[in-house]
Amino acid sequence: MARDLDRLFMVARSQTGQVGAEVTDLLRQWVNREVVSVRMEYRKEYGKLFEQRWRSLATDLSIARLTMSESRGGFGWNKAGDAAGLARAAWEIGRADVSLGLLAAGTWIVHLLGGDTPCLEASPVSGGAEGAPKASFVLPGPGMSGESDPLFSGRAVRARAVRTKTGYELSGRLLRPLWAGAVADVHVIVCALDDEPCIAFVRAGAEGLARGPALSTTGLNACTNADLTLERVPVGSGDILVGADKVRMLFSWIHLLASGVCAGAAADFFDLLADWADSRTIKGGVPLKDNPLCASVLAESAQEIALARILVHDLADVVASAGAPEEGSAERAFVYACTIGRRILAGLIHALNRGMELMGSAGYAKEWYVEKHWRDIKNVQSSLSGVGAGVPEAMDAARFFYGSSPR
Amino acid sequence: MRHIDEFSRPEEYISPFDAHFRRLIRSHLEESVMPVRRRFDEDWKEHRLIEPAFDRLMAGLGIQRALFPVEYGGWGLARSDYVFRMGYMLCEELGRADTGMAVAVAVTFWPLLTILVEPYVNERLIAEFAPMFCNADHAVFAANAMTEPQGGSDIENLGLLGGRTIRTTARLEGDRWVINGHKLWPTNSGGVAKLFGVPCTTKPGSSDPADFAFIFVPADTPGVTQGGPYEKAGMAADKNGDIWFEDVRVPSWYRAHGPGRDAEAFYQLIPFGQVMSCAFLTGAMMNLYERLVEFVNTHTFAGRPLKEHDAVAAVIGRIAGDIDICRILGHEAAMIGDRRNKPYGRPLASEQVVGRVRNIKDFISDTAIRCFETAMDVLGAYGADRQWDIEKHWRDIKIVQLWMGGKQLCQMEAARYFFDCETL
Repeated sequence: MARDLDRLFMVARSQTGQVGAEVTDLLRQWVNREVVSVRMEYRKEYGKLFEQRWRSLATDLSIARLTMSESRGGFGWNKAGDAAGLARAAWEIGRADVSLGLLAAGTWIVHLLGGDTPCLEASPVSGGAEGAPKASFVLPGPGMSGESDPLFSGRAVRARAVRTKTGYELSGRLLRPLWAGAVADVHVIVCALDDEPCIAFVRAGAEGLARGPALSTTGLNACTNADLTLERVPVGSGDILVGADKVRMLFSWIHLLASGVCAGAAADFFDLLADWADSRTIKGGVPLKDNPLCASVLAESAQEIALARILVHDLADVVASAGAPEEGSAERAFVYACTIGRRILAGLIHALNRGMELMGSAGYAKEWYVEKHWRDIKNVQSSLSGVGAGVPEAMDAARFFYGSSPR
Repeated sequence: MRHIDEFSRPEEYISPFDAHFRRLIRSHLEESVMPVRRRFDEDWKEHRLIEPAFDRLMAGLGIQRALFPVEYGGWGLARSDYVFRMGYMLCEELGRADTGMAVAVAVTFWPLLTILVEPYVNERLIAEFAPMFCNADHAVFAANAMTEPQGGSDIENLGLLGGRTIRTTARLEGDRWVINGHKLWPTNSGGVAKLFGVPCTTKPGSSDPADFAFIFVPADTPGVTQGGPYEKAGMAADKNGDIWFEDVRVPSWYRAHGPGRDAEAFYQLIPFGQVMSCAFLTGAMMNLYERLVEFVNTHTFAGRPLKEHDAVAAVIGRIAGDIDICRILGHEAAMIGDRRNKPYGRPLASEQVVGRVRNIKDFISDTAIRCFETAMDVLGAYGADRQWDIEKHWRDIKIVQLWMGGKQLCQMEAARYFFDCETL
């Protein structure tokens, strides 16, 4: 059944407007035509086929250039105020596949934060129509016992930058990136410079950069991850952004766009669940959706997805507000982004878990595609938990709301 | 580090053979299965790695003989007072290593219970099928072909439907049953099982227990067609597929017990399946604990080992506490099964046993899923990494929550029992 997902999962008009409507319409058509309508072909070889789709999305639709400045041939969605439009675009791509959405979001974030860095000038991330660029992100997270790392809000910063005559050298061992470490063209690495957190942009192939073997993970098929080891990797002086607020904005954008992507995937899950509920009977003939217990479970699943979409756009407002010159806006956006992002992903996993309860074994079989969204979203939720199941975010919130100093 | 055996169990429930068998099976699984289990996912179709592991476990150690009487070369477990508790021990150890293997082994026992466990014993069928399992030098599997395309879990909702939605039919022609129908999803289908237990109806649309039949069908009987295995989110060691029965003819005495008794014998399978589900889950949770201990000892937050950070400690403390509670409950469920023939027990086919055991399984399933999800978040960017095994268990155990009618049927059975619901 054709369902109007925008009508079912509404967003306040004030948060959308017409900005970017053409882009999201185009993306919607592409997603429906290139993935949703032919999705059964994909399960034969998820990785290969989604890799092809990413190339198509990046080249045919030039989606990777959405956040490049217009002067460089991009669409110019590179301001904090473009957060809502980007969130909508992420939602649309997420309906097709979470890993595709994360690849798109990754390239957008690279330009949003590092658009002026020289490293990107010659990178495929800023490449021409043939490029299907990818980015990975090494965020502060769990430390390793026996190592003494600088901390960013309790999280270990395991890469270090030191000054040289021409710029910096970056070192770090077995760093775990988000999602696409094995295949990224640009690695965005949070590092410490004299114990101050900063962001370094490192091109794949840089001298001293070694990628470990591809990690065996489940889900996120268009991304292949690998640990990174850096041994005195030279980084140009313009390729490092210094300051905790830069790192906070990196977290904020990642939370916003990953949440948007996952909310889109959950909306596609809703479509599949609704099809199921339309066609199945229980108790010898009662339509599943007309049974009160099943209806309550279906409702709970839809309610979580609806709430998630609203929260994504609330979060976009928060991120947009971080563009203000007001002191502390980046910290506020960071705390809210982590808080809202965690709430969105927890709600989405709950929605999928409940829906899968009704679908039973069918929800578990690849044939119905549901389990793929479930694996992908859980993968994102865990990786954005940082470490300790949300404890760092709780400590951040305690600091922000109560002025406490948890150690 | 605490040892996993320190998770609580009511000590007075433990069978005298528990320690010996547990040691034997654990050592076998740690040597033969756990080192290779991370490669099982890619082996879901061919079972090149998995099949030899089953051969060593089921034929080599002799697990597939466990239920059969000693006179047939079995271990006589079905006639013991602790078949549920020993089954729990076995499935818990298997679940710690690989839940897919655990379910494949347990489901081999499942249809056989209808003819091996008092008061539903069929000596002629035991004599007929024992050699298939006891004399083999390779793994032999059985399957319970229950679920049908149109009905989902209706077949397990005997309390309400009495089998009236079953469309697989059995018609007596002379001294043969003629079976026609289509079943989905049985564990050990997809070409694995050598013997099927097939619930069917002798009168379509009837909810009279006398019209319910449970008939054994060897997989190589003409008219039996099996589809290939489904591709799933996990549980690679457990193959599931379609089975079609087209004018399949088996001897009339392949019916388990006859009118009325078949339904009772089949109904007792539900508590067994639920109890073993609890065992798969607590076994996986024990391995979760082992892996989590390693992570929280070797990784830090705020400059301290994760386990030494108060807020993280609260999270992992809850996980370990939940494992402890679930293990107590799982053993209680097993004991409910083993009390079936005691004066203070209840028959397996009673609403009390079904309602209470389903309730425990529902609770443990939800708790296990929550523990694994939280543990993946404790690992953060390492949560989806197969190297830590937690993600594999998480994918594998999800189906345990979903099968046998899933959460909703558990809730209904519990409500029927505890509130005397009359119309649900």
